[in-house]
Amino acid sequence: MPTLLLRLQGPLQSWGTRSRFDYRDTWPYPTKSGVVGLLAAALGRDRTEDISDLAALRLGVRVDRRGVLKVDYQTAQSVVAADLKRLRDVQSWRYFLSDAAFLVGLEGDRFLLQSLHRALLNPRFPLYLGRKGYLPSPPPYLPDGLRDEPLEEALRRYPYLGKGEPREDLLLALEAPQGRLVYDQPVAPFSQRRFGARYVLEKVLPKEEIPKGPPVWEEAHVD
Amino acid sequence: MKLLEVHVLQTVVPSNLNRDDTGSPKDALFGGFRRARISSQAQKRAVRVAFRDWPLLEPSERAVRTKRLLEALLTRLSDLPEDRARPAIENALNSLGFGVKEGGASEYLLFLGNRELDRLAEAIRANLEALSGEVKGKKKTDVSPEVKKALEKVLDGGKAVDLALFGRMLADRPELGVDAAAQVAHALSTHKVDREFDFYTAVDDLNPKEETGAGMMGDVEFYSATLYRYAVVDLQTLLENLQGDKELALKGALAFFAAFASTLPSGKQNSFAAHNPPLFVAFRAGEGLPRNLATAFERPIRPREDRALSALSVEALVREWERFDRAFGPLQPEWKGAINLTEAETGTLPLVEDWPTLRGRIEEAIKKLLEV
Repeated sequence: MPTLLLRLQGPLQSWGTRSRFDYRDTWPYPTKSGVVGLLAAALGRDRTEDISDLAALRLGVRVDRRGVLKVDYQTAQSVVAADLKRLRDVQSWRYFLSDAAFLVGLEGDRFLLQSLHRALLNPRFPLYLGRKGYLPSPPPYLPDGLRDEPLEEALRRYPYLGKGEPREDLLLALEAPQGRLVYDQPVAPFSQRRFGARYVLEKVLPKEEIPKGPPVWEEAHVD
Repeated sequence: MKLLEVHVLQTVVPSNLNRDDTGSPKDALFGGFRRARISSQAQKRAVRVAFRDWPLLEPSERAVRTKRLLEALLTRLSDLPEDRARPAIENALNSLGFGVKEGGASEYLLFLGNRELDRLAEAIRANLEALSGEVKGKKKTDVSPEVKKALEKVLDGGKAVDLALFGRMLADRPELGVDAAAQVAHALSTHKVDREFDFYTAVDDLNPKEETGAGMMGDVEFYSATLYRYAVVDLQTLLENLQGDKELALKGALAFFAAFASTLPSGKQNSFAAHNPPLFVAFRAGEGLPRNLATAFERPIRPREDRALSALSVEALVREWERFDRAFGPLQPEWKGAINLTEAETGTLPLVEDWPTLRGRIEEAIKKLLEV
């Protein structure tokens, strides 16, 4: 089955899986719910709309640059308390990955992947990396992102997103029938915020096996 | 998507505009180096304050965050006898789930458009008879479904520009939420920054002569930075949030541009007064792919004695802009322009001399895009 590749890179990104309330964590790499949300935004789907077709795609992530875990301390004045009886000032600690870069692959129906590829070039809603203020740079769209190879092969064969060869071995996380348990599988429209379990198989990609970066199309256009 | 992008390069002198729980200015890692950071939410607050204080928008075009709904509605219905208006308003608010407590404040702090309030008052007036029952509190209120529906219908954002740009979330009533049309990136320095500390001592003015120690001492962390600030407005969503009012969407987008480009958070400004205007402001409008140009500074700009850091930053930004144009293509159609107060070469980017001209160019672009 064909695979669509995209690049999730930016100064800040956050992929929460389980946190509620004041401390918001991040998973070490993009979550299924986060990637599906980004694709739905590109297509212009409302939060109440069905996303089962997107959620059915198989996700894989290559961690090209892990980034550093940091925290954004936020305050908000006059927030309504949970009992609705008083106002309080709240603090919140939002964890994020600073300086990370991921190559993300989605395997599935060719027609759907084609329309997603087009939508990434002209997204209906602004795209973001887990939080609205965390903007991608460069954009997620890869001109040569639509591949005929299956998921794992596509992720293994695509050039490193940085320059030259990676300095260390890369982590590859593939959706699989068994492995590490992650609660990030969307099971209903996003307005309902319901997520199920999913298994992820984590592998190490030896750095010698990864084609040197950056991707050809990027280099070819540079002065 | 139809979009308006703002790109700003702004050099601020030593300052601490946005700090964390330890008082340190916020930072991030980017390209492997530590950068000064100003958070998205802090910049947005500065924009909202400017909408109100300059003012860039009329009160009717803004939203208010209030618990004093009862008072606000009573003023609007002041021509009615109060013993009729008050129970009707309380019944109406209770039926909407915004329970009224003793003393008249609603339980919630609500972000409502001023026009929403006007129309809510009119809806209450129109249904005065149906709302005249005994006030029984939020759970027991007996208001007919038709009247409730009529009241809910007016809570549609009320064409408030700040609400349309920054969104609203009501955890209890998700259907009254509004998705934000503006996206503001965290500002980052184009260069690496190191921690700098200002060690201070404060002298007790009433110290006797023989006592020479300080009354207190401590340190304040700060840095100076050339910041890259970026925001993008999704014009279609803005227009939808404003119920298709094109004139207002145009006014709102222009107000956002003006406020975003010329405001900063105010943290510790009494101690640092870093009131530095932007040295480079560019816009890009049209239909297609939004592009944050932060990667221009992934390799940090290095200071040089013969060139200003700001000028080097502008040149890096323009190079990234042109590189992205070649890789992803320009917008279709596309308008762009910039004000450049640095000595940088700006390639093919059309330059203008002053704010009114830049504003005029943007206005022209949005008018075409939204078919105003």
